[in-house]
Parts: sequence; C-alpha cells; structure tokens
Amino acid sequence: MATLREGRRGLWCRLTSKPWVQLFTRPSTHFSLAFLTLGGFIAGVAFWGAFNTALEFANTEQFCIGCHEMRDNVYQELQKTVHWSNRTGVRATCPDCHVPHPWTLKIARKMAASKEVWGHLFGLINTREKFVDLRPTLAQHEWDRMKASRSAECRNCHSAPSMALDKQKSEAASAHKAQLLTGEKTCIDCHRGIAHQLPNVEELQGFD
Amino acid sequence: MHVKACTWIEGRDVTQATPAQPRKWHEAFAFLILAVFIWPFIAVAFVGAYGLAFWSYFMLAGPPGSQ
Repeated sequence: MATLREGRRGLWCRLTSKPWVQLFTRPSTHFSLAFLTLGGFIAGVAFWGAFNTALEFANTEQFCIGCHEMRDNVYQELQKTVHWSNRTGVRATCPDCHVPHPWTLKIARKMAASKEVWGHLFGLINTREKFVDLRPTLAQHEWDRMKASRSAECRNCHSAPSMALDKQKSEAASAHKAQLLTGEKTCIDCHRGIAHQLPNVEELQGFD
Repeated sequence: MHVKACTWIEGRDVTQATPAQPRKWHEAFAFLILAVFIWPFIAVAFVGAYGLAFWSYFMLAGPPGSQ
C-alpha cells in the first residue's frame, strides 16, 4: 500500500487530533506522574471500598426481601423453620444458602439475578398462586445447583467431621454414617424443604 | 497560514508536531472524569462481563461442580 505523503489522513487521525480527545491521550503538561498516580491510587482505593460495600449490601437479607415476591413467600416460610429460630440463636439468612462464597461464583450469581429482575418487572411470580405454580421449577433449580456443588452452602456451616453422631437420633446417625461420611451423598440428597415449603410432590419429575 | 488537522506533508503529520498547550483546569477536569466516572464504569462493566460469561457457561455446562 502506497504511503500517503501529502494530503488529509483518515477519520481516526481527525478524531484523535481533536483538542478534547488529545486532552485524554497526551501526557499531562500540568500534573506530575507522582500526582497522577497518587490520584489514581486514591480513586482506586475508594472504588474498591465502594464496590465491596455495594456487593455486601446486595448480599443482605434486607436487600433480598426488598421485592415482595421474596418477602411474602419464601421469607415467610423460612420463619417457620429451624433455620430461622432455634435454641442456639444461630440462623441462616437468604445469601447464606443461596449465594456461593467463592468470588467468581458469587459474581456469576449476581449476574444471574438479572433474570430475577426480569421476573419482577414482568410479574412472573407476583401473586401467591403464580409463585406456588412455579415452585417446582424454582425448587428444582436450587436442588440441581446444590447437588452439583455437593451442598457447598450447607457445608459453610455444617461440617460432617464435627457431627456428634451419638447426639443424633439413631436413624439419623446411621444414615449419616452410611451415606454422608462415606461421601456417597451430601446434605441436599435427603434434606429438602428444610427452609421453605416443599413443592407438590406429584408435579416433580424424577423425585426419589 | 492555517493548516487543517491531519494534513501530511513529506510523510509527516505537520499538525501533530506542534500540539496545543491544554489549560490546567481542562487537564484537571479530564483527570477527574477519568478517575471518578470512566475507569469505575469500565471496571464495573468488566466484572459484569466476567460474571455474565460464567453464568452463560453454567447455563450450557450445568451448575458449578457438575463439570
């Protein structure tokens, strides 16, 4: 390709020769590198703090029940279970079970919540009837997720090696000994409907 | 004589050789816009794209742990 020796060059050159563009692409003439890096450093620290604060806020129960779909359905059901009230006063909040801890999985879950925003905007479960109708699907999503992760969110609090089997009922102890401690099964394989009501079992496919 | 931007003479952009001196407050303003709006926006967009990529992958390959 012949080099253009004279004349006006292309669009890119004309765009980058605009003074307001050069303000961003040229070295600073008034500010030192030390000042600019310090400014960038401070802005970076502030951004990181703000980002984490926002992420943590999006991981609170208050945020989750900000939508009436969650507040009127699953949140009410949770309050009747042992994961809400028990003799030790330790309780689970929504994200403890429904948001993975590893950063990548957490961010992926936050993006997946865009689907929930969609559902909210278009009222997919905005009445109790619609919610109950969709419950088998919604529950199956969580069961599939927990089965794949080998009940990772349960195990954030519950640890098989720390279970005092002699303090459990004999049938629980023998089931844990035979299936949990051998790694054959994890929590979700047996413990379903422990924090929310179960779907109508007849509607489920492949429920064992 | 006024030379229009991007005019090349003898293989050299004559208008690039003599850049205009920006005003100090213009540079300060550009710095603040970059530090407070543009880079944070790009950072959030990058994290969002990262999460979206993994979410899409999990939708195709099954939830994490099933791969």
